[in-house]
Amino acid sequence: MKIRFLLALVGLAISFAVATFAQQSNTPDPQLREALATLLKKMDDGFVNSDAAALAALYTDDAVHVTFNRPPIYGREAIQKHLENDFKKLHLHFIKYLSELEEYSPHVIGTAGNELWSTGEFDQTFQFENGNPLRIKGHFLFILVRDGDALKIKVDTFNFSGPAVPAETK
Amino acid sequence: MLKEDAAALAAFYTEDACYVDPAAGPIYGRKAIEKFYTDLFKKVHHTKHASTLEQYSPHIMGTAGNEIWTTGEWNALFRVENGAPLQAKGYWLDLDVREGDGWKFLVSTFNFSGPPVPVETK
Repeated sequence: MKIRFLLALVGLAISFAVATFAQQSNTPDPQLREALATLLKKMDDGFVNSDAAALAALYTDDAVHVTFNRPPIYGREAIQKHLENDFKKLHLHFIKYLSELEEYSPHVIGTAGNELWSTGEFDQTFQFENGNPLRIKGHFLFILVRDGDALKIKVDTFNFSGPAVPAETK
Repeated sequence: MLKEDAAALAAFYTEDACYVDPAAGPIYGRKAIEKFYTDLFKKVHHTKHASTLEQYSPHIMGTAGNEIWTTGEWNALFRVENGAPLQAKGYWLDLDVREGDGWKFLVSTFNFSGPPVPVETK
């Protein structure tokens, strides 16, 4: 089912691509940015390794994952099952998963400094079972909470910038 | 969206808000968001835009109660320039902050559940 959605995303989003940028002034805390970069690296590795448990460990116990083709998924355990389903039943395999942090992230929310938000881009190459490799790009949005020196995802979502296209195999 | 009122939509955002567009990526600041909508409405014309809040939203963050996040489902009917009517749906995620008696978007994004498809005309 998912492949149909991934393949079929058409050019509406592209028609929206009138980039209008204003200057942003947030300077991220270097330690928080490092913690976030570590989280993203674990996420990239988790997808390439099809490791649902490792990915689920990046979320808080009560996290919410807002995906694109079904209602939100509540709780770390349910998020892990969702990922296991993608990897095992849908035979979704990521050949490449690269996340790039927005230059101003993470942004501290409020004054207590325990919650943050972050955005950035991803670039995935994936395939379903014996299908041809496909490539898709998009953006993510995280709401994060501090967990000691690390960060965990409390809420996340992602979108696609356009349809999946055949990956170059050179 | 129906009235193509970019200023009214931009007024829902804080001055330093960020809107993460699927194609354009992050757009920073209310003024830039208003320009984005102004440019969008030159090409895209909505005839319906409906949002359904997730049953548990809003979710209060922290202890002060000055920040919330919300999610939900949207669906829309629209035309791109003079093209045929299309429909699409998906989900949004917003982080909102209290401003006076109301709430404004600090950061906002949405996704598409699938490709826009022609509207059934039966």
